[in-house]
Amino acid sequence: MSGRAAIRQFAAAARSNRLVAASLLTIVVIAIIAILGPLVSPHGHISTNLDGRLLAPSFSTWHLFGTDDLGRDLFVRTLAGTQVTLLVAVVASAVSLLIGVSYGAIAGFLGGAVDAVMMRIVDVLYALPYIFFVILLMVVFDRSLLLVFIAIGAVNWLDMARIVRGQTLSLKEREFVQAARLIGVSRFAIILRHITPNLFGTVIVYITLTIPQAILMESFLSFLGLGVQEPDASLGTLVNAGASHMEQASWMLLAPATLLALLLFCFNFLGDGLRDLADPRKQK
Amino acid sequence: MIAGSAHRALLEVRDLSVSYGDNVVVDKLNFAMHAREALSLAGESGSGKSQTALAIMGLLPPNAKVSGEVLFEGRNLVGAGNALLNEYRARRMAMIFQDPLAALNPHISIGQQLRRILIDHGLADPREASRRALDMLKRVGLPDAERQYRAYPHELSGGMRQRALIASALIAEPELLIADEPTTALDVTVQAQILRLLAELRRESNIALLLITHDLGVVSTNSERLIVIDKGRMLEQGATRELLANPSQRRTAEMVMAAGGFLSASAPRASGSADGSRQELLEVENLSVTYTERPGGRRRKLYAVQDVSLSVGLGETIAIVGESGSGKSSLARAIVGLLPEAAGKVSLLGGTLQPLVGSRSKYIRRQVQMVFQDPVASLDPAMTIGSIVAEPLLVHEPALSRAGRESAVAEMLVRVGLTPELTGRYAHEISGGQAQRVAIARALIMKPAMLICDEAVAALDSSVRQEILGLLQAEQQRSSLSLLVITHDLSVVQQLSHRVLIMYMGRLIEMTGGRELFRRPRHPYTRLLLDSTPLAQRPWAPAMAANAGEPASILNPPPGCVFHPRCVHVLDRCRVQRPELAQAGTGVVACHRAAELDLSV
Repeated sequence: MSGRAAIRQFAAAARSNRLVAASLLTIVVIAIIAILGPLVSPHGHISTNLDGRLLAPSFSTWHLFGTDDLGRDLFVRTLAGTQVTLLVAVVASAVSLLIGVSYGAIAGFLGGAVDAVMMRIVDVLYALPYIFFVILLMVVFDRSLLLVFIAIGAVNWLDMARIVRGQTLSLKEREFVQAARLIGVSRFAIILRHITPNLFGTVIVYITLTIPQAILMESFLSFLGLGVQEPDASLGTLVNAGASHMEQASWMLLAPATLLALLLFCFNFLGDGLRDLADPRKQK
Repeated sequence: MIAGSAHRALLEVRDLSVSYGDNVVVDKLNFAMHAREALSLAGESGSGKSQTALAIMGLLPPNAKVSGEVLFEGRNLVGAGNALLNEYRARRMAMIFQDPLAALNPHISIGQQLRRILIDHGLADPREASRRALDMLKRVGLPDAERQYRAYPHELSGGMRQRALIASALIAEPELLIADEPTTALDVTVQAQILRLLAELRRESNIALLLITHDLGVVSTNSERLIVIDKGRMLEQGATRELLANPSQRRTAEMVMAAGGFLSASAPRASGSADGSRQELLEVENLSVTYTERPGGRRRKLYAVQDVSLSVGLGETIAIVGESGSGKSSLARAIVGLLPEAAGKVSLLGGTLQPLVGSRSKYIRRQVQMVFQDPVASLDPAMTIGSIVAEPLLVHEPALSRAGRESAVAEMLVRVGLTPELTGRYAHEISGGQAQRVAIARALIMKPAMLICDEAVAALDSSVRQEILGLLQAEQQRSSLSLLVITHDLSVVQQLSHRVLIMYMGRLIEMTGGRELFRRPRHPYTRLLLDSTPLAQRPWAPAMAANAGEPASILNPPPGCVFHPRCVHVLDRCRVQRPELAQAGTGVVACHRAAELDLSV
């Protein structure tokens, strides 16, 4: 399936499967609100107000989700956190796409010794204990958002590379690739014109399944204090802060946790729906 | 059983319809079968023949809508619950499938699978069940039945598996056996044996046989009555012999033509050009192809092709015939340069070619093109038909403008019998026959000197097959294209070839002019192939085909003549000394007894 065919399938999927359509719509709406919300709100996401600490949600003060223990507006903070979380999703999928797909396609198509060496490198990276790896990064370099992206990207492309390599191995034995070789199409052109477009379906499905993993991982790192640092926020740090004030101010936990759960649900539904649609055996 | 049941039909199908949503696959089908009768249901793919069989057995998926009646001795089975159907399945009616490996449970031994049927239906106690299972395996002609009883399905050859599947269908002594394409997945010599076994079993045990097939050649000796269906409807029915001799519908006639091709169709053309001058295009000298296998870590060489030499003249058609494992496809791939481990020499118009296609020059590459077996798989699913056919031009004529390419593609599509409107479609949106035309167009747009067709029509329905063969012939006359046709089907050969090469276990064993081969084969294996090919209009019951067994494992080829374990004319000498190719009549043959044996048909 090519880019165009994949997009057509994507559109057909969204039409035929209501869950997929609803998930897609929800994600888009959340993204728009996350970008526009902070611009519209009278409050800033790092401005503190010690007179208005732990206020319950109310319309009169425009603290729609209430305030936290430093009097910061939770509505804006949650949306700012959502921005970070969605950014993680975009970066993780971009790294997966760029590094994972090309690495896997090259290893699979060239095969032989090149393939063996490239895949052993992947195995070695897999074998590194992930949390130690992240802590090491944090100790050596300054903690920053960029480091979180690097840490998540470094892990996410490995799965993609393996999946793409497997697909490529089976694709290159297919007769249309042999026909291209007979015609005289160069190796590079075969990868570009015949292999990559046919990986599209698998890749798009896998990406939608990687995104929730990356989001969870960022939340987990932030929860441990290894991720996004105060005063910046991500959904993970907000849930962390909310958890410690759960008894006095339940809204501090509820707002970011609900949004995080909603996003995860949507991406998972999207991935599952697309996987079903990409599997010809499940098509009626 | 009530008195008078003999006059009643064993199975009666009334107004049977099967549909999936709006798609009607079986449309008001009516027929009846009496006890011990043999009836064939023939049709092309998508005609609804298998759906009919599944409907009778109650095996359709839940989203299928079934209406009408299937009366087994008067009892309607449509809509019956599983409990009732299970009383009928195995005990009263049983079914065998096309792919015996898929139909047998891979992790239960053959004997166990048979025993369980008897025990689960309460027909025998465990000890008796074992005895009867073993007896059944002997009856279906499994050699060394005691050992096969304990074997697992993957340890058996294709023919053995089909025998085991037949045994499992018959062990509960049903009155009706439904055989759905029972021999389609098998090699032609093995097919002959299975068909003969079915005929014998039917005589011995008085079962009725409903044979479902696309191949009218299979029908002729195995059924008394024939129903031809098309698009879910009955096209015609009648006594098998009469219907095959005088089909009243065009579609039936086409199917008969396809199956009987080599007796009725035009005679093969004479070899070489009229004035006797002959220019060699492709020469292959002592080509061998080896694969390295590593079963259990031990390296082992597998000789797929051994020491084959051949030549193809300009404008000539050569056919290479062999069963699966004969090395015919490996030979073709080695010639075009798709296989790495090949020894020997391939030359084109006198110039020696590099072994791998990647190191051949563009000019050489465009001279030799190939059409593959599966037309849909050989087209990139991500590309439109137009860009698939245009791709060779991008490589070989990069100077051509976009408009020039488009008009060349449109012209080419018309030439292979397609409309230019197809350019925007994708491979999965067109039919198999159309896809094969596209593959041919992609090859011909490079104006090659030679086209290799690797089983290019094997996956197509019979009527489409005729059209594609006609297209290839027309192209050959138009541009003096040389054709190398790889096939397992002798009827394809008859129509096309000047010369025929027969391969067996990687070796060339006979090469003769097309017409000569069909009249006077010189190798016993060639004769076996001819005998095994079922033909719609020829009575067929050769003793030789029935007892010839199956090819030995290519990993462990027999010493001496590779065909000797299956040969009825075998001498002691054949077991130790390998025969060399030698002149015999107008061709060459590798057989010690070529001079003395008369194998004329």
